[in-house]
Amino acid sequence: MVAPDELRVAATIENVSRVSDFVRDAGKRLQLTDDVLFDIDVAVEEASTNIVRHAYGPDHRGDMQVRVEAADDAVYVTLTDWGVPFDADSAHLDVDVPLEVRAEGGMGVLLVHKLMDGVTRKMASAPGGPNVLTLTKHIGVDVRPADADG
Amino acid sequence: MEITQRVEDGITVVQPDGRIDTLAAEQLDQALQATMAGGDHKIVMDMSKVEYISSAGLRSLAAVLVKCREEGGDMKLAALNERVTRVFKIIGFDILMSVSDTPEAAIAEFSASAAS
Repeated sequence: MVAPDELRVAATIENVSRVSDFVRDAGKRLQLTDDVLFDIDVAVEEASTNIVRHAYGPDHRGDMQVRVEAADDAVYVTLTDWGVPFDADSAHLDVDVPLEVRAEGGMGVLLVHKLMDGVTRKMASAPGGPNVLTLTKHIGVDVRPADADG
Repeated sequence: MEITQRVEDGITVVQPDGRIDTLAAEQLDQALQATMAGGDHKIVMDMSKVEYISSAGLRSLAAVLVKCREEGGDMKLAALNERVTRVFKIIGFDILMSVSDTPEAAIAEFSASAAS
């Protein structure tokens, strides 16, 4: 197990890119390939955008926290918010519907599920409690942080 | 993100440079809406310098495609890298949108469809 990286910021659209930067930096330290980093990058942006838009929305403020950790041959990215529990997986995208309809929503959730090997969601059991989304990406080789070399 | 535009054979070629994330998608959206407001509805998106796209960017492109077709034009994509192509395929946009290897090939497709 490699020590986790963690960042907690206000859940705003502007901070989505801070979360993305943080996860990319952590991924580089873990020497993930560009392909794996890309998949995690997209999934994290989609998931954190959902937190800003749906867990809090325009009328509520709160934080989001991201944690990156690696064990054996997988990377785990955990996103936590303390907003309204939102079952993003219900925003199902039907890829057979016309383009105009498809553009309305559900694309982000589909990308998260297709690009990640595992997606688990734990909703808060009481108001204000943590909603925890864990994204798992298998990388085929044991994770080794860059600074562990030599 | 930097966005450059040029006109070739009456076709507007738009080249975004960088990551099309949620914030950049808004910027791209504004640029493309301004292009269409100027009466240009035949657009080639040169994606050769786009290393990343998320659903926000896909939504912008879909909206532009729909608007262009409504106005009798079209939007065609060119030079998608492998990873960006994967995102398009997951959403099914590779089937709905014309994708060429180069901007020149996309421009030629406009000429071919005008001639037919």
